Amino acid sequence: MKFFFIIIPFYVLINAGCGHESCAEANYSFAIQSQVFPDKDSINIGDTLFLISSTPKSMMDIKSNTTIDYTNSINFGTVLSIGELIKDSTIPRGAVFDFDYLSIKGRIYNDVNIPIPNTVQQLTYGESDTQYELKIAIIPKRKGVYAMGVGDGLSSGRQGGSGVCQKASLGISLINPQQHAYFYQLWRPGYTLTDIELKHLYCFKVY
Amino acid sequence: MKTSNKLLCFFITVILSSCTAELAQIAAHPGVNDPYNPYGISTSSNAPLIALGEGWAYHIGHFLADQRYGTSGSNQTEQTGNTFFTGGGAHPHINVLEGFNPNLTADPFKWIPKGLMEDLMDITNETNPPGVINDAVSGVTISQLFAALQSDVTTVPQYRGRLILQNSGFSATAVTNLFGQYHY
Repeated sequence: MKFFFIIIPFYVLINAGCGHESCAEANYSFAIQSQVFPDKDSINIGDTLFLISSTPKSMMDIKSNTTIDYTNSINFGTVLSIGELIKDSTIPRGAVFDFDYLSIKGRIYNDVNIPIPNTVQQLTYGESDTQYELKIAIIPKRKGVYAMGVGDGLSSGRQGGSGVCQKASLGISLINPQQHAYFYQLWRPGYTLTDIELKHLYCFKVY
Repeated sequence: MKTSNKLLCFFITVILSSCTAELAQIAAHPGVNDPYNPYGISTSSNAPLIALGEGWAYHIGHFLADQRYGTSGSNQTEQTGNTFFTGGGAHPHINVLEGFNPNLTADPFKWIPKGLMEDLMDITNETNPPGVINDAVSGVTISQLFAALQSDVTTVPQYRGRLILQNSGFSATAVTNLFGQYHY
């Protein structure tokens, strides 16, 4: 009898769903580059920083090592975290609202239905004939030392038919020669930033 | 009941109830062409149980895989990024949990706290991107995580309460804060 109590739930799990043929996981994995310019460690209030990123719609899928024509994405996006590095504080202060934003290509917006909207902005790439593109202007409104993080992202599928569940995982890295990580390390002495952190982090001072 | 029978009873209860919740959502979002298949939306009546069950499932799956394969584990992707490669001393099964971002609006399943239990255990802060999750909790053990998964605990907030009630070695405020950063 005990045997059936064990076997039946596992039979249901294995054969009836719970992960099979679902939209739970990403089908593809793409690598994308991004950059912040001008690459200065200090800027004035009212100056403009640009975050740019683009990728051809035909991309190499790192999982299968094949080129995928990934058109008509639904919500090809990621997040941008912004925190102020305040001396003697161990946690960056959510500083999304210390800046004005302008969407030039794609879109930057704040989603209040997430746990920490004052720390994270949402980014959605625009789709042109050949590329997914993002160009965002970021304009500081107050002084401070800030750490900005471009997160890895996700395409939640493609429009139409069987493409709806063709999710893609987006590994987005910053390629700035100078990311001014010393601001972060000054703020957090003794800590060594990991390679993963350095792929995403950009620091600057507003004065 | 003997301990083994209690465990058996627990597994049957959790598996059946969790799978029933997921099957209900699969029925509501059938087929491979529904972006909410298999877990449904965050506000469905089944979402609380799914969030708890799958949050644990993703965690223990990767935790055990890391115990077995460690730095030689295969590349992993759950939600974001393709960076969780093997090689260079990386632990892809742990990094994929660390890389989960509950603030990524593009993810219809961001309400399943895939990285929460790893954050309760580890001593590191979040890295993708830096500062998104402020993880001030560490040292919770697998045994403590498991012990709070009781048959009357069917939501993540209930789980948080039970975890705090059963353990005194960590800050309830920090635990509550961490859960809050995962929508709970």
